[in-house]
Amino acid sequence: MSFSEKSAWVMFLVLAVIGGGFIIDVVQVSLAIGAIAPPMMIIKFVVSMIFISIVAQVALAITSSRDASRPKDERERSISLWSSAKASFVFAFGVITSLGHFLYYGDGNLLFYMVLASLIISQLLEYVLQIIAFRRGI
Amino acid sequence: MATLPITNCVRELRQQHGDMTQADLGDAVGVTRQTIAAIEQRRYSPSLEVAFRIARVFNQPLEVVFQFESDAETAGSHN
Repeated sequence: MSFSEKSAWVMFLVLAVIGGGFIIDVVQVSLAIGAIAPPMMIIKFVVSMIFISIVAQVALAITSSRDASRPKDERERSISLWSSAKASFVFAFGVITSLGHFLYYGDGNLLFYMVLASLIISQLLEYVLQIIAFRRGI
Repeated sequence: MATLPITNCVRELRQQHGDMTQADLGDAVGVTRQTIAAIEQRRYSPSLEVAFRIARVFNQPLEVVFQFESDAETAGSHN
């Protein structure tokens, strides 16, 4: 397994766990207060993501030190571009849907979380597509 | 999984060159071992530059190392 594929697996798992935990937190707080949770909850999510991503990537680099220092080759770059392009459609769809929802309901907090959810889902999709492309080709 | 139309004899040429490993060939042409494996399995068609670099490692013309399989041949090979 190449370093890029390992990295995609690590980031997928980190985002799935941290992002999933964040969504559960937001839902629980929203149910408790009877309204959409305040956007400031994102701070804990962002700090956790940054810290755990750095730790995971450093651990990965230590275990694959030879591959970690090498730049991506042409196949890895093309897989990265391909998966990113596909995921961007999902993100754009999520943002446009969120904006449409905001126009109708006018809930800024909900708009915030819908856009954030679109970002998380599109990023997860990008990692999944990368893993599939590394395994099966594009 | 779709098989790409560019065939190659990279694996055979590696074996003829003292059982050169995929990692050695990858280092020689500037790609990963996994990319060489993907080229051999026809899961990835290399750029022209990498194709020329691979041919140069084996001192062979490009068309000896890589061949283009027409659509009809590709369909035939799947039947």
